[in-house]
Amino acid sequence: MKQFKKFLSVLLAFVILAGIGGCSSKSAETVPAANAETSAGTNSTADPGTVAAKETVSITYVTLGDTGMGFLKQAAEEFKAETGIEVKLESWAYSDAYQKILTLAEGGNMPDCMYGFSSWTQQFKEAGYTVAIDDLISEDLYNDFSASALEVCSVGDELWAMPSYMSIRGMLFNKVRLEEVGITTIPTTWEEFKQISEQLTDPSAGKYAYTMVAGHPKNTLDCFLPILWAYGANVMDETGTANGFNNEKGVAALQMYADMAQYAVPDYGQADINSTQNNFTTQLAAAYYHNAQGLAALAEAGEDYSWAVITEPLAGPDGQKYSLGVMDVDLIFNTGNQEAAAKWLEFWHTPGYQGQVVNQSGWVPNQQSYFAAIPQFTDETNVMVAPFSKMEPITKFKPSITCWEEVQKYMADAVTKAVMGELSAAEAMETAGRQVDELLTK
Amino acid sequence: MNGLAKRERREKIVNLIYILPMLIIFVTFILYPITQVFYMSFFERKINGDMVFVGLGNFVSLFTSPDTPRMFQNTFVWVVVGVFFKLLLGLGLALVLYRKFLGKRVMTAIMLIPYAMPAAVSCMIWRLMYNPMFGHIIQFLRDLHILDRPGDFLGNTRTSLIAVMIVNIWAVTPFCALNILSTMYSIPTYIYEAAKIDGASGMQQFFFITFPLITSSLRTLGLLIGIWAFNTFDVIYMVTQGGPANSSSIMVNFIYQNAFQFNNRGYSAAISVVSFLILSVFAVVYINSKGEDTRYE
Repeated sequence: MKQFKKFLSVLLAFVILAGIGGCSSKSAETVPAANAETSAGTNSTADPGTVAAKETVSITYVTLGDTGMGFLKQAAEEFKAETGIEVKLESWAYSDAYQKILTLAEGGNMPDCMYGFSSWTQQFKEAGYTVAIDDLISEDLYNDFSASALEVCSVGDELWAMPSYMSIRGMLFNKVRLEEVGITTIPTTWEEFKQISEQLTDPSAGKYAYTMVAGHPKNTLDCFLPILWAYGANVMDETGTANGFNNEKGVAALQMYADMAQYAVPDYGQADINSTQNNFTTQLAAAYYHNAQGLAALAEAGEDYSWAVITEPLAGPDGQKYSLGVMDVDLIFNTGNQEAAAKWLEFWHTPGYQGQVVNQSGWVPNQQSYFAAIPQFTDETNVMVAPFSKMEPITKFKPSITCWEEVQKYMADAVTKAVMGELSAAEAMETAGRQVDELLTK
Repeated sequence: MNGLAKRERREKIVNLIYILPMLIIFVTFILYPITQVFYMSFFERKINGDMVFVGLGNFVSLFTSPDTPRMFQNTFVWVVVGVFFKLLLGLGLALVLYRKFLGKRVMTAIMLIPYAMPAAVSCMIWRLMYNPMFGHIIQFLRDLHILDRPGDFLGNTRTSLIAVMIVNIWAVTPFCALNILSTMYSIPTYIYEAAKIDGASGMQQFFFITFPLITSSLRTLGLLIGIWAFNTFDVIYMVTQGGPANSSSIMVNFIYQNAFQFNNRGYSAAISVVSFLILSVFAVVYINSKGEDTRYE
C-alpha cells in the first residue's frame, strides 16, 4: 500500500510536470510561427488577392460587440465563394478587446485583422503587431476614403489602419425648453450658453440646462475636448512632445466646463456618455454634446423628437469651433496573411456590406462610394447623418499616441477635480500638464 | 542509533515524495509568479514585450507620483475604518441575536442576506439606490430637507470612498456578526449565572465577561477581514471603478489600472511588491495573534 502511494505521488508529480512543460512548449512554438514573415505576405508584386487565395485558406476577422455580424457573415460567405478564402469571424466584448489582443499578440496568436480603435494605431505599429496597408489595398479604395479619415489612420506618410466606423458629434438643443424661458435664438458660443443656463435650470422641477461627464475616464474627454479646442488649446502642442493644455486657453476652457457643472444634471460624476444621452432624450437636460443616436431611438419607438435641434459645436471666445470625431478602424496584423486580410477588408468596405452597417447604426460615412450608393446618406431629413456629415471639415480626432490611455486618464482626472472644486482650473491643468509631459517625453 | 537516523531520513524523503505534487503546484503557481512580480518591478515592459531594466525607477515613480498619497490614504481608510465599523456593527448585531426573542431565526436569516448575495447584484442595487436622480437614498435625504438638490455620493470625489465603504461594510458585517455570535455561544453560561448572583449588571457582564472572552476571536477576525479588505477589488470596481479621479481607488485598483489599462506592467508590479510587503506584516501579526487569551476556568 505504501509502495502504491509512493508510486501514485511520483506519477502525479510527473503528470503535473509534463502538463506544465507541455503548456510552455506549446506557446513557445506558436510565437515564431505567427511572427514569421509569411509565405503569402512576401509575394507583394503579384496581384495580392490571387496569391493570398492560393496560399491561404482561412483568415480570422474580429469584430467587437457583434457589430455588423449579420452583414459580416453574409460577406464572408460571398467572399469565400469568390476567392476561396475562408473568413473566420469572431466577436469580442469592447471592454476586453485591448487586453485580449495584447495577450494574444504575446502568445503569437493574433487574428489576421480586426475592428479596433484609432488610438491603438500607433502603439500597435510601434509594437510591430500591425502592418502598413498602403500597398495592400487598391488605389480606388484608398481614394474612396475622406481626407480626414485617412489622416487619423496615418502614422507619418503611411496608412496603418483602415478607416472604419466614424461618428461626428455636435450640439443638440431642446428648443421647446429654450422657448419656455423666452429664448428663441439657439446659442452659438459657450459664453452665450452659460448666460442662459441659469434660466434653464430648476433642480426642484428636475430641469437642467446641460448634461455632461466629469469622472468617467474615457467619456469625460469626449465632452471636454470640444471646449478645449474651441478655446484654442489642445491635448499636445505642435511638437507632440509636451502638453498643449496647461496654458491660459486651456485653463479658461476648464473653467468654463467647471462653471457649466452648476447647471448640469448632477449625475456627471458617475455618468457616461449614454447617461447624457438619456438625460437629453428624457428632456431632463436642455442641451448636450453628442450624436443623434438617442433621437433615432426615439424615432424608432414612435416618439416625437421634433423638439430637438442639431447644431454645430459651440464656439470659444475667438469663434473657433470643432466637432469631436471618433474613428474606429480595421487593423491588419503581422500574421503572414496580410494580403488575404487586405483583400477581405477591401471586399467588406463596400456599400453593400459595411456601408449597410454604417447606415443602420447611425455612423457618418467616410467613404465617398457610400454617399453615392446609399440614398439615406444624402437625405437632408436624416438627422443621423446629414447635420453631422456637414461638420466633417471642422472635425478633430483624439490623438493616436502610444500612451493615450494614460494621457486621457490624467486629463479626465484634472477635469473631474476642477469640476468637483477639489482643485482650481489652473492647479488641475498644471498637475495634468506635468504628468502628460512626463509621459510624452518618455 | 545509526539505523534510527537512517530510517528517519528515509521517512523524510518518503514524506517529501508525498508532498511533491503539491510542492510543484506551489512553486509553479505561487512562488514563481511572486518572484516574477518582484523581478518585473525592476523593469519597464514595452508593449512589444521588451523588458528594459530600470532599477528602482518604478518604485521612485510610485513614491513621487501625485496619485500615491491618495492611494495610501484611501487604502488605510478603507482597511482600518472599514474593519472598525464591520467589527463594531457585527458585535452589535451579535449581541442582539444572542438574546432570545420571537422571530430570532428569521432575523438571523435576513441578516445573512447581504453576505450571501452575489457582489454583482448587491453592487447594482446600491448603485441604483445611490443614483442622484431617482435613488432612494438621495430622495430620502431630500424629503428630510437634508439635501436641497440631488447629490451624487458615488460621483463626488469627496464622498465616493465613504459611499463604497458603506456597501462593503453592509456586505461583510453579517459575516462578522455570525463569527462573534458563535464565539459568544461558546462562553459557558455558568459564568454569567455566577456574575448575576454576584450582582453584575448587563454592562458589567459585557465588559468583564463577554468582551474579554471574545477579544481573541475579534482580533483574529479583524486581521482576517483586514486582509480581505486590503485585497478587495470587486466591490470598488463594480460600484465606482475606483473613480471619480481615483477618489475611491485603493492599491489593488491601481495595480489593475496600471497593468491592464495602461499596460505599465513594471510599475504595476512595483505597487504589487509594496502591497505584498504590507500584507506580509498583516500575515505576521495574524500568525502571532494567538497570544495570551483571557480564560475563566
